[in-house]
Amino acid sequence: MIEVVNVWKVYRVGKVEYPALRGVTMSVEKGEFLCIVGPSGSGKSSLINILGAMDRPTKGEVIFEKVPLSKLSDDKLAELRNRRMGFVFQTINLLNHLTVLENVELPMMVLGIPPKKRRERAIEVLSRFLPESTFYKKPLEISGGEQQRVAIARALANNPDVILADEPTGNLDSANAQQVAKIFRELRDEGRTIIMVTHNLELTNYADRVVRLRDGQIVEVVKK
Amino acid sequence: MRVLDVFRLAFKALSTHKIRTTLLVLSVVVGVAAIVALTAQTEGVGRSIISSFQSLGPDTIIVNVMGRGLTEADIALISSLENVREVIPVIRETASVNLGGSTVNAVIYGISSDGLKDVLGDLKLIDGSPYPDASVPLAVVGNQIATSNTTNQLIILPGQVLTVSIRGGPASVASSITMIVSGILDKYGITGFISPDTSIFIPLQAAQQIFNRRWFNMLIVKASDPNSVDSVIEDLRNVYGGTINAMSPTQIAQTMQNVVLQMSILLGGIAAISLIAAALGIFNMMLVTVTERTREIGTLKALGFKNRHILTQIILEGLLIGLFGGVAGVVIGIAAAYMLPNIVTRGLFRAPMPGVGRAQYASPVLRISYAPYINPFMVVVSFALAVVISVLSSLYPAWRAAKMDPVRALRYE
Repeated sequence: MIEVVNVWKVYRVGKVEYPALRGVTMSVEKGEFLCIVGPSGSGKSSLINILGAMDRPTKGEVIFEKVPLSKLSDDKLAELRNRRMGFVFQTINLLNHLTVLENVELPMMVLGIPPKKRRERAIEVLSRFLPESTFYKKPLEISGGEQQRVAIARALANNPDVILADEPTGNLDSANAQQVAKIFRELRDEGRTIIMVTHNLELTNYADRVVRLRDGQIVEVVKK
Repeated sequence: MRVLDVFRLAFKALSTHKIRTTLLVLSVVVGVAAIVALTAQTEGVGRSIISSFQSLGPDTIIVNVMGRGLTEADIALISSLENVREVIPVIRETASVNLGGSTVNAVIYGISSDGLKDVLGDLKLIDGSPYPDASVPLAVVGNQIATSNTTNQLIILPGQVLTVSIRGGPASVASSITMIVSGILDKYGITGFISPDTSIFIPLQAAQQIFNRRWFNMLIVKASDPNSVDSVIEDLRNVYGGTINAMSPTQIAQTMQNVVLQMSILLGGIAAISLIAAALGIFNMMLVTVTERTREIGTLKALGFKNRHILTQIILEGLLIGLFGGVAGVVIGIAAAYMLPNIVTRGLFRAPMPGVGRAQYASPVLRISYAPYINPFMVVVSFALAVVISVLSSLYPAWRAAKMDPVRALRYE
């Protein structure tokens, strides 16, 4: 589904260059649950950002369903993220001035879906993870675990093929972390592709494949 | 993406920081209200002056000669000109009236009873009656002179003897004269060349006797019809050359109109400066807001919001500030416009006379009475300015937000 061919990502601070990825080549199969692990600074976040069309590689190519992403404009990449991908972040990143429902409606707003349909879809997705009593609350009025489940619902709003999660359990306790990993496994069982960056090796048990990075290079691929 | 949704997001973002948004809207309100209220004053004063000139009639010409007074010979000469229907002579002296220990400035006009009706357009008396044409010192007193500053009650009544001090008159004229009040005028407000509220009118013959003179300060010339005014003025200039000053109220009104327009532009411009200050405030606050919302912007981009969606949302936030500020500014400006004349006439221009202990009477010469005029054009201009300035102020912050790199924005602490 996604192919990464000799991808380099180099950050420049002044005249100093910091290579985050050094010639990474890999592929992500449709419907698999892929975990990316590695120590801090190994390039996990850089890789998931490039896989999610949020960042462009310094060198190399990312091909999404036979379309090279380097050929797409920023607007086309935004469309791809909106229609085909869903993001879950460690810092959750819900908009605190919107209600839980409104947060889930955000990706649908971009598509121009009418408010009534949007609301129906948001309720449908949210009902899977949260009780109705939380729907009209603001993010700061619910727990961290609940907030992350809202973020997962938001990622699913436009029914994407791929869910990308960068340390989604980093700010959660172990019980909530297990819950989130189980949700991702369920989503994978529905046929979605899951790409998750994590520090928590326990969670790799839910994955089909684990890619280990070190110093910007793949050092190990483990099939479960 | 639907425009209504972008509006909704912009509104929600603004309502998150209520105090900040209120202050931004208030800065716009002050500018718009100042423009509306101040231009309403100048236009109100201007219209009041112009309408009073026009009340003299389109067939009227005010004549005086530089360097000398006008005599009976001048009246005879001017009366003989073609298209001249009537010539009304006027005597003018400045005076002061002592009432209960306070001194009020006044202007005494000697004018015939018919001339008085012509000058005032419509003789409105709240008490007493007009004077007959006689050498008896009967007086029709202006409303402001006759009314108490504190109680608003009449303190001069018909039949009362009034003592008036003449200021700067010739030595042959008594410094103090007495007159009998025959009538009290209603309020007139601003008029063209005479301010009835602060004047005392007496018969022409009585003025000639009291001031011991046969010359007049000005002549009010009535043309046979309004179309003949220009030809009469031309004849007067031909007869007197450059020494004559002859103007029709229409000409004066036109001149006044230009002066008022310039005053409006000046005051409106000064008020508009506060809108520029508001624009700087919006610009600064929008930059701060965009920086604060960096992670939010990164999130929206990750969710698929395009650069133009972010740009539109921030600009719409600026637009909403302008719209709210513009609407509130117009409403407050209109309210302030109607309140200002009261403040001006009761406060600013009613300082006590120097050396007078109680501030019961003020210098009536300065008193202004007018109705503010809300010019719809100025309302539209000030509202549009508020909106345009608010939108312009948010352009750069919006551009910065739109250009943010989503990955960096999401990492922002």
